[in-house]
Amino acid sequence: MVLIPNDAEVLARAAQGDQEAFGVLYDRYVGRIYNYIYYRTGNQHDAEDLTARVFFRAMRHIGNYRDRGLPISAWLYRIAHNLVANWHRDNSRRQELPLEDGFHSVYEGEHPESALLHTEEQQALLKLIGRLPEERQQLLILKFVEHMSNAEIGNIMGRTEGAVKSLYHRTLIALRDDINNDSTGHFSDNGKAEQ
Amino acid sequence: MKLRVPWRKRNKESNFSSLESLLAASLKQMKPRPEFVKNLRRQFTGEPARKVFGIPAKSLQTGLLTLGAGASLIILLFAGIRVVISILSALGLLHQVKKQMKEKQTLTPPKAA
Repeated sequence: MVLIPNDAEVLARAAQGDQEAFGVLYDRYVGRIYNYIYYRTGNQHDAEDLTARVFFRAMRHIGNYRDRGLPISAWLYRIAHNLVANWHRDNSRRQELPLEDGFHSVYEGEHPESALLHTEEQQALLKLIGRLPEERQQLLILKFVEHMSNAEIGNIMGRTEGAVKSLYHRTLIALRDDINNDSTGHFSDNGKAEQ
Repeated sequence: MKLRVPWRKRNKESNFSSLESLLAASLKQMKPRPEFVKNLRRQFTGEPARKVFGIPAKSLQTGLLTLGAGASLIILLFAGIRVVISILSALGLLHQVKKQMKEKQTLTPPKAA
């Protein structure tokens, strides 16, 4: 039987300079951090660049990491969040999701026309998400991409479960209003069903 | 005055199922490129260039590497010295032969025609 060490054990070893232990943490979280950054930047190139920077920064500072009862993922997401914020500032533009590669594969099996409609609707939705405040974007990504519970999201965002629930509700209302006010015609009646 | 119907308001704000479905369909998990993941991992745990410079000074590996480098340097130095000595001795030999030939020429009287 192979015992899989928990994050605390791996973290302790990594903090002492064990590169292999850091590699284990990397394996566990690279996908999640990449996903988070991908949806915040909207392109693969910047997502890869920033993901690499997150882990380099984590490796550099892991010796100073203090366990405050939060999961290591919260610390990594915090680093990612800060780097993405800097990236947005440096680019001095609001997030425009160019919708490349993966988005087109979601409806691969469908009829091309139907798939195109779906993709356009998704692209428009992702653009609207990109215009939301940062914390709301983060919440949606953690909820829908990482399928985290409100409690887990609260741990990462430094909020209570109730606060996350409330923020989620407000986010959905804002997003629905944005969809209803959208004049591009990308959203089907289904997308506006709650009007 | 606009009348508000509480149950309609609640219904409007709590029924987000189709929006949530749309979000779930749009926000899919993206897999990073395997080469990217592999290359980045190698940089943290075993990139050759980083490893050579990243070895702790007092480790056995460093000691062995230094010893090997030192031994190679000494062998090269000796080989170099041997080559120089060989060249010098060859030159000396040539010089000596030339000198002897000159001496022979001066000692032998010129033949009468």
